[in-house]
Amino acid sequence: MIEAKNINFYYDEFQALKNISMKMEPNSVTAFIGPSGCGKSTFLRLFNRMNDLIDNTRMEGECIVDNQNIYDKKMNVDTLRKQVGMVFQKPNPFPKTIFENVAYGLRVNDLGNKQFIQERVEESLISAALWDEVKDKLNKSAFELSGGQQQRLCIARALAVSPSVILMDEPASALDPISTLKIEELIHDLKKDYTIVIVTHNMQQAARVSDKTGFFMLGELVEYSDTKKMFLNPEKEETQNYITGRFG
Amino acid sequence: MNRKISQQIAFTLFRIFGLLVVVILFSILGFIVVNGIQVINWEFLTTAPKDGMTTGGIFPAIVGTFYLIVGSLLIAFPLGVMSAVYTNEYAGRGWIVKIIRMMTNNLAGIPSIVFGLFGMALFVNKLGFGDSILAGSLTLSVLVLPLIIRTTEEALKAVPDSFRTGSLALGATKLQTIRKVVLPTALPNIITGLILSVGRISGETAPILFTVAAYFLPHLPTSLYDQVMALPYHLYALATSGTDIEASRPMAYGTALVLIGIVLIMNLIASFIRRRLERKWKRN
Amino acid sequence: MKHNEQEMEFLKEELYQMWKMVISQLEKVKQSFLKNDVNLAAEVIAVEKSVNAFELKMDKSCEGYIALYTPVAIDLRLILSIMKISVTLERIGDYANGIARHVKHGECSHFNDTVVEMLDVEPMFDALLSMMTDSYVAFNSESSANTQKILAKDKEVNEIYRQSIKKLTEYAKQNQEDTHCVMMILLLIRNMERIGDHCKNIVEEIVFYLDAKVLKHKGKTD
Repeated sequence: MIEAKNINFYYDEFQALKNISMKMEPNSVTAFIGPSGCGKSTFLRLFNRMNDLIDNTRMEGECIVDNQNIYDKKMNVDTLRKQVGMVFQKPNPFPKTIFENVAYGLRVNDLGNKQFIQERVEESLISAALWDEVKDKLNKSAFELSGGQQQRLCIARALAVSPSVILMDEPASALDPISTLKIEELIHDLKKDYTIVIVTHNMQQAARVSDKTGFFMLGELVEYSDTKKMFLNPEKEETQNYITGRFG
Repeated sequence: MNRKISQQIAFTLFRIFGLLVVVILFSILGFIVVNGIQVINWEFLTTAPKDGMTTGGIFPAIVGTFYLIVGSLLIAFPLGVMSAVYTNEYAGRGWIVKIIRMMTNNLAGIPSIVFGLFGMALFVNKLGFGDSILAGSLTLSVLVLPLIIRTTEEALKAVPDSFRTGSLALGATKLQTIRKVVLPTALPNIITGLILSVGRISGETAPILFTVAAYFLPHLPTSLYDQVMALPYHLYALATSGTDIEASRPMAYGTALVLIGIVLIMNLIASFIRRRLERKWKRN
Repeated sequence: MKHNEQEMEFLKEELYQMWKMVISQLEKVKQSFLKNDVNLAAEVIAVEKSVNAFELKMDKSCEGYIALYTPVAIDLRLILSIMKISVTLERIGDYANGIARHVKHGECSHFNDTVVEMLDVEPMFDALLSMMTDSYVAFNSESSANTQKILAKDKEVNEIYRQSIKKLTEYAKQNQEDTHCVMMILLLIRNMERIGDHCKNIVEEIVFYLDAKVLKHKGKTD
């Protein structure tokens, strides 16, 4: 389970997140929607501490992942990132072979021997619904794959290190509709084993894939409820205006 | 109509100047090849100079230049790459990096003869290496260091940040990310820097003048502390201070041709490696 | 199967269950009416609540599906027809319930046998049942081949209805003490005729879903 308690986040003097508290259930898909610059991606990146890489940022509040406060001084960030995988907006496979891309996380984390890695790579590619397409060219460069395949490779790469949570930052925004559908199907399949949090610009995507949806605006969590409820009968007028396209 | 004409005039001028560069390059090469090719033979490449350097070969100078290239790259390459990794990957945007960058740029602007003088003062005299391969290689490595740092930095900057974040997001440490993702990706461009350094090292005369180069040394070096002959300095000697300058003129052209040949071959090898690495990871 | 397809299958499955439930209601009403079986009628009345609940549930599921998946083309037609069919099924359930109440009430039970004998009640029930089952099969198998046959059955039902009015009027003239019960029966027969109309609506929805031709209010013969 993931929980955020009273999160405030600042880029220099700019407050990007304002007192946000929310819980995300295990084995469910939670989507964040909202206009650009509303803080949804910033919020997502809190959970694997990717915001640490940005200079002059400041965070207040608590983030709890699997009963650990991940901003605790004792927390090992590398361990956290193994536990909380991430998939990015643009597919970013490494300039390595397909096999080595998936094996990468295992190698850098010293997980298992050669045989284990081999098995884990296969399992991960199967889970990412990519195995059938790449099993005959594992030693080819990852760049030979199509954009959608590359993104699924990146998902396989994240799965390989056995995370409990997967964060997805607009995972399909750079893909064509067919590849997007494949990724969405994959998200449904992965839900049974992982807790998934996804940021998306595409409201329909949030509606299609998520169980719960959080609507962000100007750094605030305006509404957080069951996706069905949010898209049928939202509580706040801002939410209604945004999801119906009457926004601004 | 007027606009069209002025455009055509401009394009013609650009084309002429563009071609001019090619013409100049080929005149130099042609001149050297025509004059040098007659003395090139097996003996020229494999024996030491004889008869006041008017006959014989230039084998010791070839070997000497080769040693100097290898020696200075062995020193400058790791140093330069590590320095570039530090400034580009670790140091952030603080004042230290600004100073390092400014110094690197200044270093690149210093005339090569000053490096020679500095090398003589520090390596030859102060550290007591004497005129030696060691002192010469060190001096040359200081000379090419800014070049290697600059090209490596550019190569690292060309690596997309998404590779770094992707690696970090998998729980890799920063060092692992640099070693396993950033450096391998930047390698083809780093090798380009290396190619440029080879050309620079093998062609410089001034820095080796006071630190390693021997006027005439018919035998090969046996240790790092030996002097060697080197192609550029040998060329200089043949052209200006031989016992019989007129008689050794063809030898000078031959030497120049060999020098160009060595640089060319090194370039070809390096760009072959570069292209293979690049093709392996070509992005679609 | 894609996730939204699964959701759609789930919706269809719900509709099938409701459909079967209403068919069995109609079947029971027929038996209870023909045999004047009060217990069976009571059973129908008890199940009516579940039919109503089913309609609400279908409504919710369809709303959810539209909100989440914004269906278009055949998916949109399917979801719209599911919504309308479920409303129609609920109505049919209501009419069946009305007949069952009449049987259970028993005030005209003495008259029942006469009615069954005089009017074509059984053929009318059978026609309605076959319309229900055939339209169910048509929807389930996504085939509009039999729709004309089903629509023809409605005409049969209407004809029986017209004949029944005549016969009942005759009967009422001669047996004035039974006027109340004749009126009651007339209402029931009227209900059955309405069931036939609703079945026709269902068939139109099926055709709309499958072939996207709007049949309604076009070439109505009666």
